[in-house]
Amino acid sequence: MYSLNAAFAALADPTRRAIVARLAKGEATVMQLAKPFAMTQPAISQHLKVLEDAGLIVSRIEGTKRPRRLAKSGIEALDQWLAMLRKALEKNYERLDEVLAAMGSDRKGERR
Amino acid sequence: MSKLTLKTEGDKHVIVTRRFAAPPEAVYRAHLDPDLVQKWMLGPEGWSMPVCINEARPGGKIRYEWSNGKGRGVLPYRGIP
Repeated sequence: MYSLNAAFAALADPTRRAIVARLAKGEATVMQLAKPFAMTQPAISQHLKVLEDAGLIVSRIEGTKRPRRLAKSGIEALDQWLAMLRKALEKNYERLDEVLAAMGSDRKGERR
Repeated sequence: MSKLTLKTEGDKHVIVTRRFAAPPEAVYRAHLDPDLVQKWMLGPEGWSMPVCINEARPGGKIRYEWSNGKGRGVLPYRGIP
C-alpha cells in the first residue's frame, strides 16, 4: 500500500534519490545501477527494496535479471502532494496581490 | 506580476521568486505586519491564521499558527536572535 510517509522516508537518502534520478532516464538492472554508485550489488539491492516497498519503483522478470523502472503511480502521488504545496504558495501570493493593492489605494486616499 | 518560480539552493533552501506590482517597502511591510500577514499567508483553501506574533526586532517573539477548524499547524520559531 502506497504511503507518502514511506515514499518521502525512502527519498531522504541521497543514494536512493540518485537511483530514482537514474531510473527517470529509463529501466536499469541492479548491475547497471551498482556501477556508477561504487556500491556492491547487495547494497544496491537493499536500496531498491526500500524504494519498491515505498511504491516508487517496480521490477519485472527478464530471464535471470530483474530490471527496475519508476512506478508511475507512486511518482505521481508525490507530484500531486508537491503540487498542492505549490498551489497553496501561489494562492498565498494572489492574496498578497490583493493586500498590496489595498495598501496602494489607501496611500492614494491619504494623499487626496 | 510574473508567475512564481521555485529553485533549490543546496539541500535545505528553496528560493521562491515572484514579482509584485507594488513598492518594495509595501511588500516588505506585508511580510512583517501581523495584521497584514494574517490576510494572505494562509496556505491551502480553508485555513486561517488565528495567531500571528511577529516582533521584528532583536529578542522579539515570533509565532505563527494556522487552523482549518479540525487541526492546527504551528510554526514555533525560537524567536529572533
